[in-house]
Amino acid sequence: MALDVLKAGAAIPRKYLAHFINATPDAETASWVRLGDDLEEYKDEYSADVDKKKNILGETKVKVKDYEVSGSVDPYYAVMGEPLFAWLENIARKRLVLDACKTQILTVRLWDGATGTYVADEEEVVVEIKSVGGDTSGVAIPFDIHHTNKITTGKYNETTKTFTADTAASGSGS
Amino acid sequence: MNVIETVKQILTDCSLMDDFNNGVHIDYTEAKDKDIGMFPIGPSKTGEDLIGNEKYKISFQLYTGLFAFEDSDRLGNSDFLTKLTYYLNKQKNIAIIETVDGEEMSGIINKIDAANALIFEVPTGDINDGVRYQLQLSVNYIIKTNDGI
Repeated sequence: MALDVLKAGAAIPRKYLAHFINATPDAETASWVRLGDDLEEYKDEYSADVDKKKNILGETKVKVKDYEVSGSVDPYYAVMGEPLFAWLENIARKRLVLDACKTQILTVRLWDGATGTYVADEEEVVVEIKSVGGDTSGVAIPFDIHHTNKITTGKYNETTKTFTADTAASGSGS
Repeated sequence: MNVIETVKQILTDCSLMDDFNNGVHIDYTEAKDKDIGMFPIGPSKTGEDLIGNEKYKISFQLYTGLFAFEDSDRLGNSDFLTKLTYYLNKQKNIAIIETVDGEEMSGIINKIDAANALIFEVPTGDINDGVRYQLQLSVNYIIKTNDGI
């Protein structure tokens, strides 16, 4: 069932904001795994560095200087043969740190763009394993995603499951 | 098969049901020995994940007529219902097909909880004619979104 095209004025269902993680960051080709199975909530938390100064006129000058964005994937249940599980398990078993925990997240706006090709942002992130195990629901490996603000804008093609950067790639962040 | 047909099939496939020659009825039982009826209590949506997969729960009352005149009969009946409860509680990750808006969607039964097996009634008022037992099922399943993204 293809996604309905949303008309102006329509509320955007949550499933139209899709999040993918590259489960093979060391490979030539990204393996984008969509987050969401068993996950009823995921949000990028924007922890802003805000500078407020009061001047002699009694006015408050406010400057947003930076964002530290992160999100929590909890629960995440291990699934046999699923590449994201394989990547996370490797980090967990070998207690890998630093660059071994780096990958990319792809945030796709499924309401924006031509059908099948949607506006997307790819961003370098660092994954932090929270725990391994959990209750009897299944083997859980919840993890946090720490954004680096190294963003590449582009398009996601749902048929080829690939991200293509815009020709004049624009970065953002501080 | 949809969730109701699948649960019926799970019961039919159970070796404990070999003596139930009359099959599993839906919303119907006969007041006779070794007859079983499955009474679905419609599904209710319990959640939705980020992808749009919809989580549902459906309950069933199972009623079975069993001979229960002797203590040994009733002990055997309780043993049967206990084993059936264990069997049903082991069932998980079973594929289903649900039709939504005229389109077939794949799904999965991820959990069955069977509980509350007990004598429900003596249909004729005479225990010589057999009694009706009940078993309650709660089935959790997911209908997968087919948007392919």
